[in-house]
Amino acid sequence: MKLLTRTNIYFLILTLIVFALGGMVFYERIHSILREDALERLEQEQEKISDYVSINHALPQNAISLGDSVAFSAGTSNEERKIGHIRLFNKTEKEFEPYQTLTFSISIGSQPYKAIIYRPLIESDDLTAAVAEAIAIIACCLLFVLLVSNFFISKMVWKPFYRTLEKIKSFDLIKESKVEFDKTNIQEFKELNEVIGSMTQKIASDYHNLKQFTENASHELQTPLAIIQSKLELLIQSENLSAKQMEEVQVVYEAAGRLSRLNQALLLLTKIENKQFGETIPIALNDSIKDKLEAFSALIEHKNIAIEKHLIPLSVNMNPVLADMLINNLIGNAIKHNIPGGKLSVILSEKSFTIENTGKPLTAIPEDLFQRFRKNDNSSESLGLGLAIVKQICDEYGFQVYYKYTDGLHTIDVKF
Amino acid sequence: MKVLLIEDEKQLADSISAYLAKEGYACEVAANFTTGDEKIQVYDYDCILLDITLPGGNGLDILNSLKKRKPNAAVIIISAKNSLDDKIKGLDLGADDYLPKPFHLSELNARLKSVIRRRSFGGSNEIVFNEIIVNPSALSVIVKGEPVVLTKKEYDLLLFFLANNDRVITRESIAEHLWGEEMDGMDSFDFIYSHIKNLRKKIVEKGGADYIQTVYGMGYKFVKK
Repeated sequence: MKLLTRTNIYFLILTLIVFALGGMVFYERIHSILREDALERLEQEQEKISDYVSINHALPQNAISLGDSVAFSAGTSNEERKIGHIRLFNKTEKEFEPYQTLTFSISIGSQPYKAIIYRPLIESDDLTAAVAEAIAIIACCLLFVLLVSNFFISKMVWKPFYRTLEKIKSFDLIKESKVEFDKTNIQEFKELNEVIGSMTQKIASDYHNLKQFTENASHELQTPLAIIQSKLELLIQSENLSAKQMEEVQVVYEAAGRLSRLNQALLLLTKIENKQFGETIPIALNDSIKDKLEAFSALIEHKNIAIEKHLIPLSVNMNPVLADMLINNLIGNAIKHNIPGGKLSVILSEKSFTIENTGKPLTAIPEDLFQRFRKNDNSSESLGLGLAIVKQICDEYGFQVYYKYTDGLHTIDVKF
Repeated sequence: MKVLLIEDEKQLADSISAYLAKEGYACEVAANFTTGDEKIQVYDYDCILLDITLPGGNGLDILNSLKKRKPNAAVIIISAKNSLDDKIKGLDLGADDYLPKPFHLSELNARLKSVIRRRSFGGSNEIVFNEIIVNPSALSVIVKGEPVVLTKKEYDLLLFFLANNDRVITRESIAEHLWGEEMDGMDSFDFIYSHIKNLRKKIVEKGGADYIQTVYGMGYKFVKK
């Protein structure tokens, strides 16, 4: 729910309550004023009648104002003066309507009369309706004006906030080092912008330092690694190494090789992160997959893996190095972690690239394997970076990648 | 055969020149841009091994000026900067090959020999090893006068062995030479064994000697008996 909607809802509820209460008070006030007014009029009319009688010594015929009526009847001299209410049938409107009555006694000579003045009252239904209508109209007008103005004012007032939000949303840590906010005079937004600004700057600089470090470290590691490998290669050429020594050199050589591969994989990950593989060309994935299976044929034959492939001609815009890496890692994994005499199926369709292979049971959580250095089998020789690289490449091109394990079958699905 | 190695890392330069010296190459080392640039102006080399990041300048500039004056000079770029850009630029400027660091010395040696062989015009570029004769331009192998039919991998393997004969060649370097980086991280090199076995069998069948020795735990050696 938007902030504006929420404030408007509260506003609406409050306004309705205030107007309902206001309407009731308004009704009560008008009602009592009308009654008081009616009473005053009745009293005036009583006076008029009394005056008439005292001057003319006769009962008046049209002494009172239009709409009111007076009825005389024989009465007693000590008739009580009282105010009453009565509902009488109105012939024109064909319904009962309320009247206020004033009963008093009046005497012509010695003859006492009882006089009742009837004054129609405004029906409370009508009054309620009129008040409600008036209130409703005022309320609607007010609400409309308030909502509209509220909408525009809020829009205007919150504008810097939404701009800030947009800036943060479009902020790309890889491309930019800081967010530039528009100037605002509002204290709260100014502070918000400052805080976010310094925060992103810090994050960006940390991120860049980290990346720089990874790249530099990897670069710097290459040379000593090259020296170690070359020296070991020279060492194994010497004739006078014992079998035991040779074995130890072999261990060092393998470790150095592993370190070197690890280093190259990390460097590659950093390079992908740093968008150093920007250039893309259409890659015929079906051909790349076929070539890759061909390149791995020695290993496939060695492990006696049955290959099943369903490839449609499909071209995807990718960097050639990354495309090769993606296919290499996926197919390589499917072969490396396969069991002797196992199966490998490769399916390339319009929407996805699916690789399914037999293998050891999965003990790790499938999604975790896309994280760096996560392996299903911790003792295995693999670096634990292959799928991290796959994930990174997929992220780069907005592909979704899923890992599934069911009944001895490992499935990796890349959705384009 | 004279080789110029332009490489600022002394230890690495030492290893390379030691390995190449055994192959009978006279290896001169230039440790920085200026020395390298001077040497290529004054002397002629059969091949130049060129690092790209050098103290005092970019190795690609040396390549550029060298190719302007001696378009036929053989150059192999050896660079820690395993970047596609450098590779493409270097090959565009006329380098014969590009080998990213870290590399196997046996691989460098094989590539160096292949580059020099391709440039030895006039003379025969056949490789003769006792009774084995390989003709790289015809991709043919003859053992004791009889042609041997090898698969592409077996042929590459034989050439790699011949280039590094009498050297211990690790399984890693063989795998990388035959299958490239794809084999990176493959924990089993057993499958190389089947190729070695087949190659050995095919040579022996034609009356050749069994030159391939297994160096336990390490790799193989093609021994000149």
